[in-house]
Parts: sequence; C-alpha cells; structure tokens
Amino acid sequence: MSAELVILINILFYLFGFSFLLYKRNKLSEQSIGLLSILINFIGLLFSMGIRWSDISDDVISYNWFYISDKLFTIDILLNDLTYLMFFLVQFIALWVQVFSLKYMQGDPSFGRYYAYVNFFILSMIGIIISGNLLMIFMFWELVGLCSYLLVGFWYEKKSATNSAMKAFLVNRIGDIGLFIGILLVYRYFGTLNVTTIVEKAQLMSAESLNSPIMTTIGLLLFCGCVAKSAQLPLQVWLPDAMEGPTPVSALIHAATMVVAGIFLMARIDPVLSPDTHLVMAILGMLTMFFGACSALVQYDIKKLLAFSTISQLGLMVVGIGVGAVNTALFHLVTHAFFKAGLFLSAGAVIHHMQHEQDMRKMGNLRREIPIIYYTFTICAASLAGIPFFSGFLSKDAILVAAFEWASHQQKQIYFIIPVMCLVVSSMSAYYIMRQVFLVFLEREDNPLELISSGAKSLYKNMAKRIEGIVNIEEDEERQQAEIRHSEEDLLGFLSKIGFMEVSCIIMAIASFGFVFAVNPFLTESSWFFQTFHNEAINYQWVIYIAILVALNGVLLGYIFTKEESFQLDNDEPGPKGEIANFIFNNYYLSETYQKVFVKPLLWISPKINLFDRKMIDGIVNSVGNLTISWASLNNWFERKIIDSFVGLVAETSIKIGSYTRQIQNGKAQTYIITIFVCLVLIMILLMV
Amino acid sequence: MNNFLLSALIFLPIAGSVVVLFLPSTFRDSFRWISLIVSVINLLNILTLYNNFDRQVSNYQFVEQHEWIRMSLGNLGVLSIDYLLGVDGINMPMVLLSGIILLIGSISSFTIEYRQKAYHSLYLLLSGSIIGCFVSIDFFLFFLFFEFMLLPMYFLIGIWGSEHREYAAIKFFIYTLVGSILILIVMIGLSMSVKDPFFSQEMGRTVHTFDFRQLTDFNNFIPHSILHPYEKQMIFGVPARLFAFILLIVGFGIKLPSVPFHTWLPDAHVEAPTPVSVVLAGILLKVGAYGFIRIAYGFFPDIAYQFTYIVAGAGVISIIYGALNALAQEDLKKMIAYSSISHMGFVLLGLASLTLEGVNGAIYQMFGHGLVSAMLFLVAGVIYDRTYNRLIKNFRGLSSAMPYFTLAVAVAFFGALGLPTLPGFMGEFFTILGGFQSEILPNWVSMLAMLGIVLSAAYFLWTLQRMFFGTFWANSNQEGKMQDLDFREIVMLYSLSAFSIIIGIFPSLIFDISGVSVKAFLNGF
Repeated sequence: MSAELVILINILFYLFGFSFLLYKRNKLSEQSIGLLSILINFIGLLFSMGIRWSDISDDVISYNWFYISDKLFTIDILLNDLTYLMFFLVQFIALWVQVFSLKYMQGDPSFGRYYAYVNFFILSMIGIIISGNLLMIFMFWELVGLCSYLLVGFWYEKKSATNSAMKAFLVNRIGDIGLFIGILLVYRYFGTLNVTTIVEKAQLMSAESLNSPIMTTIGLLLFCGCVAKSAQLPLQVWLPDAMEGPTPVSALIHAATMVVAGIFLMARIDPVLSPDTHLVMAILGMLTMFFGACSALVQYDIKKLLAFSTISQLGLMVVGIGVGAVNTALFHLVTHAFFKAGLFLSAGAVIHHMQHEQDMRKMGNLRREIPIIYYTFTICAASLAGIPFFSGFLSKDAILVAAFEWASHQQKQIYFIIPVMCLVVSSMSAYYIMRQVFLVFLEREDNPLELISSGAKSLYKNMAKRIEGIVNIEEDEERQQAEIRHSEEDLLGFLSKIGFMEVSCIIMAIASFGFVFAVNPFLTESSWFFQTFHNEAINYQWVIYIAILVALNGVLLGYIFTKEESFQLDNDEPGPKGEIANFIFNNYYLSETYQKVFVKPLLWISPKINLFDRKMIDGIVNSVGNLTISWASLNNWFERKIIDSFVGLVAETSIKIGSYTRQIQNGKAQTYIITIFVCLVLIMILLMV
Repeated sequence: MNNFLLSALIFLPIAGSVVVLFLPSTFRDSFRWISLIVSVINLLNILTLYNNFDRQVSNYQFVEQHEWIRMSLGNLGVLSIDYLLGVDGINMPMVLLSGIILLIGSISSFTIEYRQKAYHSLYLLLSGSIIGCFVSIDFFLFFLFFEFMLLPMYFLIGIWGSEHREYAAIKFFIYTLVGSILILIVMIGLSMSVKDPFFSQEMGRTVHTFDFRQLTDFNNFIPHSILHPYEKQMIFGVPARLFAFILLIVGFGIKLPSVPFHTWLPDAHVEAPTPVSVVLAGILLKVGAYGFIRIAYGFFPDIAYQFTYIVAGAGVISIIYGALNALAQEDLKKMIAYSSISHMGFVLLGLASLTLEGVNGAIYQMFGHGLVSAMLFLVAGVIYDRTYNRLIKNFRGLSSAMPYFTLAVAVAFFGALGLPTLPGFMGEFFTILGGFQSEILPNWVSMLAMLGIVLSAAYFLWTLQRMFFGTFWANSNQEGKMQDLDFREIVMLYSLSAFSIIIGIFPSLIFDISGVSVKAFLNGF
C-alpha cells in the first residue's frame, strides 16, 4: 500500500471519529467514546510508524481538484521526512493527550463533544502536514484555527472562555490575511501554488533576484501567518488567553502541535525566504523570546506561565529559522513538543488534583501528594531549562551554536546580540521553570501544606462543583492522605496509583530524556534526528559549555529567589507587586492597547456609520420619496385651486349669465316686446354706423 | 424532452400558480403541497439540465427560439422580439441555485397560515419569473421577467411581512422600478442600434433584434446608430455608450445591491417573511449580479474596461461599508442583511478584475452566497418564529437549549465568514486572487477587500458569542419557547449545510460549468 493511501485512510478514520462522536456524543458512554477515539488514534500511530520504517523516498502526489477555465488546481500531497516526522509526532502526542483526557475530562457533560473536536483537530493538523500546495495549507491552517476556537471556548457557558476563543480566532485571522496576500503574490509571481515547484524555482534564483524587494515582501507576508499562529510579537496576545480551554487541549494544541504550524510552514518554504526576511525573523523571534520569557518570570498562574514559556520557545525556533538553521529549529520543535506537552499534562494533573485551582501561590509541597507528577514535571522542566542529559539541552544548544555561527559570518558585531540574547533567555527559562517547580511541588516556609488543604481547598469548593464526580471533598481528601501514607510504604502502592493521567505524563517525561534522541547526550550530531535531516555545521563547542553553566545558574537563582518569596494567601490580586512587574505580568498591556486602539474605535465608529447609512444615504432616498410626494401634493393643490378653479370659474360665470338672462325669459309678452324693440333699435344703430 | 426543458422550468410554476388561484378555498391545506411538489419537480428538471449540460461548450445550450413579436417601425425597420431561452456557463449555476433556494423557500413557506391561496399563488408566480429571468437570452424577454418579479415580491412583502411591511414593500418596489427604467432606456437604445445580420439580409430591411447573441457582437451595430462602439455619439456631451453603461450599472447596482444604492435591502429583508427573505437574499440579489455580468459587461466590454476602477471601488466600498454596518446592528436580520451587501461586494471585485480567476470566483461567490445567505435568513426565521423577536441582546446561551440549531448556525456563520471547506472561502479566495492577478487593478484595492474578511469574522463571531454562548437566557421569560429545530427546519438547514460543504470541498461542481463560458466571455475584452 502506498504511503499517501495510508495517510488518506488515516484521515478518513479521523473524519469518521469526528462525525460519529459528534453525532453520538450524548448517547455513548464515556468509556466507549474514549475507547473509540483512542483506538482511531492508535491505528493512526501504527500507520505513521509503519510508514516511518518502510522504505519510502520523497514524493509528491497530485490529484486533479478543479479547473478554473483551463487553469488546473491540484490536491498535492508532499511526502518527505519532515512529513513523516510530524505525522508521527502529532499522533503520538495526541494519543497520550487523549489518554490523559479520559481522567481529566471525566464527568464533563460534553465529554463526547470534546473527543469529537480533538479528532477534528488531528485531522486538520495532518492536513497541514501533508499538504503540498499553499492553498491546501491555508485551508487546513484555518481549520486548525477553528478547532482552536472550538476547544478554547469549549466551556461556552464561561464568558471568559468564549471571549478568549473569539480573540484567538480574530487575532489569527489578522495574521492569516498576511499569509493570504502572501499566497496570492506567490501565485502571481511563481504562477503556481505547489510548494515543491515554488521551492525549486526559488533555489534556481540568483542571489540578487532572491533578495529583491518583491521576494522579501512575499516572505514577510507569509511570515505574518507564522506570527499569528506561532504567537510571535506583536500578535502573541491570544496564546495566554487561550489557556481558558481544557488543559489537555493546551498541551496538544497550544504547546505541542498547532502553534508550531507556523514554524513548520516557514521550514517548508524556507528557500523562498530572502536574507532580509530571515533577518527580520531572527530579530522578531529574539524579541518574542525575550519578552515572553520576561512575562513568564512573574506569572502566578500555573498554565499562563507555561503559555509564556511556549511563546518564548517559539521565538527561539523562529530565531533558529532566521539564522538559517532550519533543521535545528525543527529539532527543537520536536523536543519542545514532548517536554512542553509533558509540562502541560503534569500541570493539568496538578490542576485536577487541586480541584481547578491554578494559582501557584496557593500550591506548594505537592511533591508529597502527587509524587509521580512531581517527577514527570521536574524531568520536563529540566529539559526546558536545558540541563544536560535532557532533550531540551540538545536542541536548544544546537540553535545557540547555530546563532553564534551565523553572527560570526555577519559583517557587524551587533548581530552577536541575537545569540547572546538566546543565552540570556536560556538562563531566564531555567529560572522561571525552577521557580514553578519550587512553588508547586516543594515545601515553602510560609506556605505549609496544612494551610493549603484547609484554606485554599475549602475556598474553592464552589468551583469544584463543576466536577460532578466528586461529591464529598472532605472524604476524598482523607482517602488521598491515606493513599499518600500508604504509597510511601511500598513500591507496589506507588505503582498502583498510576492512572491515565500519570501514564501520559510519564511517557512525555521519558520522551524528554536526551538518550531518546541521541546516543551521546552531549553531542547533538549523534542524534537520530540529524542522521535523517542534514545538520548545519557546528564549530562552537565552547558555547555549549557556557550554555550549561548559564542554565544551571538559572536553576540555582530560581531556587534561591523563590525560597525568599512569600505570599499572603488571602491576597486575591492576580498580579505581582510593583508597577514594572505588573506591566510585564500583563503582557505589556498589549491586549488592552489593541482593545483601545483597534476594537474600541471600531465599535465606536460602526454605529456612527450605521447612523450615517440610515440618516444620510437612506435619508436621501426617503427625501427623494418625500419630495416626490410633496411635489405631487403641490400639483394636486395647483390642480384643484388653479386649474380646476378656472374650470369652475367658467362654469360659474356661465351659470351667472344664465341666471341673469333667465330673468328675461319670464313668459310675459311685454318683456318680449320690449326686448325685441330694444334689439331692433340696437341693430339699426349698428347698421347705420 | 430537452427541447422543452427550459420552458417547462418557467411554465410549470406559473401553471401551478394559476391552479392554486382557481382551486376553491376548501383545498387550502393542499396549496402548500402544490407549491412544494412544483418546486421539487422543478429542481429535478434543473438537475437533469445540469447533468446534460455540455461543459466543453461555451455557447448557449438547450436553446428554444420562437418568433414572438414582429413589428414594423416604418423607416426604422422591423422590430423582432423572440421567445428565446438558453443556458451557458454563466446562468446555469444561477438556475441551479434558483432550483435549490426556491425549494427551500417553499418548505419554509409551510409556516404561512394567513391567506394561503394568495401566498402560494404569488410564490409560484415569483418562482416562474425568477427562472425565466435567468434563462431568457432575449433582452426583451429578460426585461419582462425582470420586471415581473417585482409584482409578486411587492405583495409578498406587503401582505405577509412584519410591522413596517407597507413601507418596506413600497420602498422596494419603487427603488427597483427606478433601476428597471434605467435598464429599459438602454434596452431600447441597444435594440435600435443593433440589427440581426441574418434576418436583415433575408428580409431586405433592417431587423432590430434583442437577441443576446447578436447584441454582444460589435459587427452587428448599425452604422451611425446611437450606441455604435466605434463612432463616438454623444448625449449631453457624454459619449452615448458611457452614458448607457452608467445607466446599466446604476440599474443593476440597485438590484445587487451595491453601496450607495443599497438602502432598500435592510428594510425589505427585515420586513419580509422568512421564505421571502430567503428567496430575496438567495436569488434576487444574484439577478442584479447576473445582469452586471451578462448585460453591462457583456454588451459594453469597451466601457467596462475603462470602468474597472469604479466597479471594483464600488465592490470594495460595499465590502467594508456593509461589514462596518453589520457590526453595528442589534437586529439579527439586519446584521445578516448588511452582511449580504458586504459579500456581494466580492462579486463586483471579482468581475472588475476581468481575469479568469476573478470572474469564475464571482460566479462561485454568487452561488455560495446564495446558499449561505439562505441559511442565515432561515436561522433568523427560526428565532423569530418562536419569539417574534429578533434583537441580538434578547437572547443568550442558545447553544445549551438548541444544540441542533447551533450546529446549523455555526455552519452558516462560518460559511459566511469564509472558513475553508465552506462556500464563502473559495468565493473570497478567487475573487481576491483575481484582483491580484488583474493587470488593470492595483493590488491595494484587493488588499482593502481583505479588511472585510477580518470584519466579517468579527461580527459573526461576536453575534455567536452574544446569542449562543453563556448561560441560557431569553428576554421576557421566553425560555420555554426556545425549542430545538423541528423536522421541517432540520430538513431545510441541514440539507443546505450539506450542500454548502459539498460545494466548498468540490468547487469543480461550479467551476466546471462556468469555466469555458467565462473564458469565451473574457475574450471579448
């Protein structure tokens, strides 16, 4: 069976899963919904592995889609290593997210709808991955946006959730407009939308024609799509808000797969991008990376911190592509997908455990209550921090090295700011993730476990009512305490606690170890990734050692400073103290600025325009109508008063004459004789004259 | 059979109308069924037509020609009016659309209880004239049907409409009548300037014709006639052809409607009963667009070429202006009405680009918008039928109470805001692609049109947010009335949804039909 057939059958499976689950969402039990969905995903995963290990070369398969007059538009399926890799990655993470959701979404009245949407998401994401032309990519690109909209606004009764969903969709739309124009310009200048053909044509271009303004325009416009989808400055505002969705969704869509679609697209069309475009990408990526990391430093919401971390890491990938290290950026995409999914899933487990409390200030010492999650979270965190032996170290430092390499080839020293910033951000991410581990899992002096259990949990009992499964929190707590005590006694008890959520977290944690990717955990070249994909040369070995130091330094600082931090539990303020910290905490008030600059004026002007429409334009129409009516009534008046009255006058005059002459005709012979006589006299006079 | 197919499409509904008219009122329950059966048969006939349509030929097919009126004009020659029907790639999609929408409209008409006999008689009359308007390829016949649509429409709005129906009906009638008169002037001018070469030779006299096929050919123009393409005849110091073209774009611009001739539309739409709104938005607006393509552009290609900026500009202004107005609406039906104005702007843009992509995209957009706007008005009708209220702010969280309805609404809204796999996307994509490909339009015009795409997402999602999300609530304790869709509504909304998705994924269903004819059409420029 050929590869594209396998993929198409796979897509059909997901389509079936989506429509069947949506149709039967209220009729099937949770077990059967979950089982069906996971089965579909598992088959897909098997397919993807089968393809990976069978001997397949790069291939483009085209089917005729439609003709516009004589211009043919095709359905292109582009199969290469990148396709297979992403095909596997998406389904692998989706599988474990679905397993995780079995427990996390348990008891949710919309359980079936959730799984249906997830199926639809996987379908659309695979669509992006296999599409070989820009029109199809754009179509699926919008569809994943729809999935994101549906899943962020999954709990549609919550106003904040639907607001965030709308925001996500609209912000993405703005970026998509850029992408849309870019695609149209590609069609105009390349005469085709087929990615392979475009890339081939671009590779044949001379350096000057590649660096022409028009190519830079095209590149930047295409990059706009990436800016929105992959949450780059200044359109990153939607991603922190998107955390309103269920946490497994955040893991799947807003960390591991959908948000990297922008990076994926840029990697696909990299040869088309001009050097200037690359430079812009590197700078914008650097800024995103830095500002995202800054925001992550001051967050207290367990998910928002991870969201800002995702923004920062996506910035790093964009820097990777910007400095020309496409495959390295893709490598980071892969490692990031695993460890960030792991972080989000572990965070989801924490949130689940805390009965939907997300404020890290109200957590602490969870290591004792949920030890497995503690380990998985810490492993993934170490990977994010770039500690050796973990996957993040391999990929992150490869980008760092590539950035140094790139900067050294530039004429000016100023370009070294990009790799240096990468180092700085590397340290910052080590800091904030350490802080998170500390706040959530480790013991704090001012924040003992007792306070948490008695204070926070009773405070948030109301919220817990959503979860129908939990009837009595008190009882549940006692049981948990007993389990903890029990679990500390023997390994068997420890293992018995492993449920769906824990399994998923453990798998992600394992995938975050360095040895999964490379035999030698210090040598990026030894990774299987770079045996498949060409690696950009690495000369700056010393950078790696610095990076290790910087990361460890970040961890250390994170530990020291967080230890000092203390919070008032009854403090309901969401943000930190201090104006600057608040400024950073609120994502530089970008959302608020956009609200003020774009949304408010729009909502202000549109009723005015409508008023103009009703009063002016329609007013003209109505006044023309009214004028006609007035003119008609004027005519009517003229008709009755002037013309008709003239007729009346004539009539009246003749009546008057008649009534006067009638007096003569009174039947008396005398009158007649006098009349005859007078008339005769008059005639005679007339005749004589 | 094929020889009478087009006539059957016109006269079956008209015959149905007469039958309904003469049936005694004791049969009042059967009127709706007659209208449904007629619509079903008509759709089946149209599907036969669609199926047998030769996609490789650009000429008119299924042509029916009968001599109708021959009138001697003395020295001026002979006036020849034919009963002339035919379809090509440009009107075939519109005929298909009419078949679908009229059927949906007749299902939707089942809710009409008041004066059923008159209603269904008029509805069938309207059906016949709409299809007649699309299939006639004699200008006189076209104009006859074009005018004739107004009559049933006037009564349908004026009698069965809501609160301000009289005002809306009068406004609609007079406004469109003004447009018709402008078209009439051009029609007379054109027929005076064109002769039928074949009959003229045969009869030895000048035979003035209304045949679309003759009117497009510059060789048929009589020397020294008023609208001769190469001789610059002037009227009031304006070239006569320019003058005629302006009259046409205003005339059809009113029908389309294009800003600033659009103000009858929000009133007519809002006041019309649901099935009439569906037909009005679904088909009647397309008559204006069809006139634009076939008559204004088809007969005056030289002027149209110069007027690209104005037509594209009107399109872009309609897109943005309509969208901004839609954003401000508090009445759901008005919001949809303004969104219609916005989306019809894409048709103008695509047409003005004069590229294969643009014009095909415009035809596709007409078809797609027909389906989607029909759905949108049905959606508004569902809410209005239950509560006699249409204000957005009076409803919240409908999705928990009406899940099946919400699914249909989602398809309609996302279809309208241009989500891929639904028809709005391909229409917008190809009209704008046409704009970018065009040699005569600068890129920024098309870029401005993009603004409309963002805005349409904004107002549709905002409406979705306000009406369908959140906790369920309806103003003045009408929660109990908000039942989910009944069988009839499911049939209408879901069949349209399914059809929209099919058209969205397989655009070749339309592009295959229109492609060859559009190519031939563009050869004239």
